[in-house]
Amino acid sequence: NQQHGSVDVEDNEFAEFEDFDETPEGNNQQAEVIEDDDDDDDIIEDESKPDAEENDEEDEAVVETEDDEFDTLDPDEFEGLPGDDTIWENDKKGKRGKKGKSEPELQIAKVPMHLRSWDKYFIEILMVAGLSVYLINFFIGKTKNGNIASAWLKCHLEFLQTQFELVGDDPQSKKGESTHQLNKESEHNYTFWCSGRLCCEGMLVEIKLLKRQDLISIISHRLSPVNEQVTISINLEDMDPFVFCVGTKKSIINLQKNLQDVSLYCTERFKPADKYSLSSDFCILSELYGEVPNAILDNKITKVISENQHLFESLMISDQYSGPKPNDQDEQPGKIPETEKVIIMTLNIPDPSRGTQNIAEMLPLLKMAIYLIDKVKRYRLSRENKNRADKHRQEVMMKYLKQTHAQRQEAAQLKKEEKAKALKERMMNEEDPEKQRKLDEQIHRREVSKKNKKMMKGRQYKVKAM
Amino acid sequence: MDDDQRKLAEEDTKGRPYKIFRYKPKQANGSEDPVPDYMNLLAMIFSMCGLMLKIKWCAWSAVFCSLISFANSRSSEDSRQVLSSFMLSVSAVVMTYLQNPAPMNTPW
Repeated sequence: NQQHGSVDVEDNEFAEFEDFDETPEGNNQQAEVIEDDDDDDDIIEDESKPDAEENDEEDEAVVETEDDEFDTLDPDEFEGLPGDDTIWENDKKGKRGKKGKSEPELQIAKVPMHLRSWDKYFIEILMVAGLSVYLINFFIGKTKNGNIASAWLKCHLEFLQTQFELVGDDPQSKKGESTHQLNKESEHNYTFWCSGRLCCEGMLVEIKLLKRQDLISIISHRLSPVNEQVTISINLEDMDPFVFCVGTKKSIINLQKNLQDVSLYCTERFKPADKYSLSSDFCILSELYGEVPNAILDNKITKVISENQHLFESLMISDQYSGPKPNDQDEQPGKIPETEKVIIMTLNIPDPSRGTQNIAEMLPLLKMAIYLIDKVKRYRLSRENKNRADKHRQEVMMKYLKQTHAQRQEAAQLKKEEKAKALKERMMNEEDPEKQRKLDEQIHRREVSKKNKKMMKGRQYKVKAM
Repeated sequence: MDDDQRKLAEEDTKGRPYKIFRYKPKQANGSEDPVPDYMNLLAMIFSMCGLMLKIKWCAWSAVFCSLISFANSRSSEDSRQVLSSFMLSVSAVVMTYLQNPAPMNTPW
């Protein structure tokens, strides 16, 4: 690598092209340090630089810019030319004087060009700062959500222990023992399963919080506020056949639009609930109006709901619950869905920013849910309503069967056609003429029998018609 | 009902009138929260662009996307997928700076 002036340009792989860039200024020697081509400012050290670093440069910066053949030129030739000979003389002496002395052992650290000035990496610093802000917010949000969830558990655990045998279940553990702990589904979703109670298979509590751990969700929550909710879903062992919902108008419309059983069985429009001493924001949607709402919404229930209006979102009791409506591509629409007998209650969590102690306000609503288990179990429909409800269920069942029947017929039709096609292909590919004739006869016989069947059917209809 | 549930149910009928059912977590279908999956996919695409086309801002946005998908990931999901997308995006950043150490130029 050619030594070029005092600064060693070793790691620049374009070193051999350096000479082209240089301008052929013979006489005023400037120590040009040629940067990598992508660095935008060149460090030009010329003699005019005042600072100390420049002085040492000056001693070494005697740059031998001319080639060897220039040495032989006679300086007198240049007499009177603009380049001043005396400087030429001095330089030559200076250079000759230098050669005798040993080069100073100054070693400049080999720092790559681009790492000399950090302020150029402005965007990278910004990116790293963004990442660290996101991470810090992740941990803060994670602990906040954890505190809210454990505050809910602390307020409700004692009551649940009196009601259920198994309080808190870890699906991974083999033994069915109470863990008294929430299952963390994700940083903002917690679940809690209780089981072992009369006439109730189990109760699942899902705590859905805001995504405080995700900076972007925090910003989007600021724009479109969302409620934090606790969903209590209780699987019942048996109950009379009815579907009933009560809740805020928005949630009732949501239920009717999204849930399969509510949209099938509650065909009538929802009604305001002020008849049952509930506030006007609440509405009722029921398969059988009149008797069922009166029985379910007794004094206790209406009292608890009206006292905690800001927390109560919706309550649904249904014996045909089969989850949300399948969007068409998911499952075959014709398949008969599995149904469950459930009570599903959705509650809003009081604003945790005012401290987690007011989460205890949710306890009466959980007690109401447990009270509803026994009430729905004991409740019996009147004969007339029961028949109406059973009739509804049969109609829905027939509708499903029709859909599945149509599908089954199509499938059978397809199979038959494929069989016939396969037979024809076999016949065509058959080399042996004898076998080919037999196959042809077989196909012919099938077509004839098919025609006869159609004619027989036609005659039967005529006989019946006469 | 699978075996251990039946065993549990039988034990109970002897002593107590109720049965204990174990918790069966619902299959976490993607329709609930599509954010982690989309962000994971975006992180993979950005880190590929960063690596192949040596675009620095792609590599950086890959790191951001994998971090967001980590923050929103469900604990039932195995963390290997999030970890692999994170390693891929970090390697994209490192490779782009190894090949061209100059800083990113400001768009303005």
